Amino acid sequence: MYKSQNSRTNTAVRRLMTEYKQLINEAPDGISAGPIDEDNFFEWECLIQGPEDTPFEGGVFPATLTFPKDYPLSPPTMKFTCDMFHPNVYKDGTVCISILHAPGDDPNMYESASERWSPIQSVEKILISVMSMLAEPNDESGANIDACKVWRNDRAEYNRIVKANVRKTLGL
Amino acid sequence: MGHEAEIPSVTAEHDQDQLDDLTILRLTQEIKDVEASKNPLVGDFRPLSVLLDEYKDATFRGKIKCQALGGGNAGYRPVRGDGNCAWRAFAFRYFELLSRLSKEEIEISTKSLQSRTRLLDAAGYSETGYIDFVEETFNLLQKLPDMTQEQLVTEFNNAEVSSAIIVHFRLLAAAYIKTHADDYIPFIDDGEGADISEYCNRNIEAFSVEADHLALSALVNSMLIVHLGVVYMDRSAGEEAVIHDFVPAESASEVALPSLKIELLYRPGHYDIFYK
Repeated sequence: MYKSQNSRTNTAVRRLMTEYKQLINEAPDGISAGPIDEDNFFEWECLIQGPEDTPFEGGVFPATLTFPKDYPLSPPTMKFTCDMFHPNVYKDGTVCISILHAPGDDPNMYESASERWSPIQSVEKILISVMSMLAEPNDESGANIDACKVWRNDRAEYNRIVKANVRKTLGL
Repeated sequence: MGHEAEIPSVTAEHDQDQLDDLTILRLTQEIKDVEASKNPLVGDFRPLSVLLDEYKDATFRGKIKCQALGGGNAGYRPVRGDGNCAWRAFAFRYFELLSRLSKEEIEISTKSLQSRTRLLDAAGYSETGYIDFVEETFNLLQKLPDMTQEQLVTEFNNAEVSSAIIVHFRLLAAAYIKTHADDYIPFIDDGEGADISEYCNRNIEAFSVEADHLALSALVNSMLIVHLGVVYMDRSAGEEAVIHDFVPAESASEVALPSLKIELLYRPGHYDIFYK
């Protein structure tokens, strides 16, 4: 006999649990992530190591990931919870890169060649993209205009500010 | 879908001079969502005369074509205009046509679709990425022989169910393009080279992005047993609606497989299901 399935387990939670398990078992180097509270799979905390040979090297940067109820149809938002001076990070810590936007839902329409959100992306792919964003800012799609200017015009000053933030994340 | 939200008010929450790009995007999306949510994901069958009434004061050329189509029992089933309309219309009609077949025919069609999952692997998608969507399709196919039409409409108006099926079908279409790149590159190449992955990422894999001609062609090719006709009720010259046919490039090897004929009614920017 046919029965409606309206009460079935939420797709988003099932998918987030699967991704969490995979990240525990085989997290890429320099990245860790998981729910802040295992009763709420929609709020995660993650830690990202600063990539080597960049001014971020040595730092460990905490951020939150907030997932929408229809994840993975829509992307999460990501926000650094530490001081972060970077062209593609808003002053409030919100990360602005293409993989966190669906096509057509992108405040920086001109970052044309980069990958957008779709339901087959994942937390792991986001965090890997954020690591490469730290290493290589995209100054065509600036979220922090001051950081863009300093990065473009005064690289020594940019490196100094970033390194000061690195020391802060380490509690120095 | 009775959850009507209020149109978000900008002035109540935000100082208009202070709106940043992200906030503007969010508010725009909220307005679109509220508008879209006024219509069910999949509506009830209506005679074409209802559609003609919508245009009774308009000079829209497509009206003439609609009149030409309007004889007999022709009708349509409206689908929500949320960027997934062609996909949702196709998916609903696929299930509806299958539901009229015998249990054995549904089973053999289900097996045929299951065999196409190998396209997803061949295209390099991870099973974690696609499995939840694919399972939703097969859950519904399994229940299909015992379902009434009304229950099928109810299932499709459950966003979790029909959205998952849409993602499954989107991935099949994208996987077909990725695994038959030579056939598609000439249509994707913009003179500066063609990036198949980027095209699929932007135009097919992402949810809520309208289907284009290539997407529909790839979808039909990926499914094997569906012939698709798109009835164009547009502004082009002529008084008869043009019908674009999409026929699968390869046919199914199993002779016993049923063949389904899906027709969609296209008005500029939107697809509904067409019945004649």
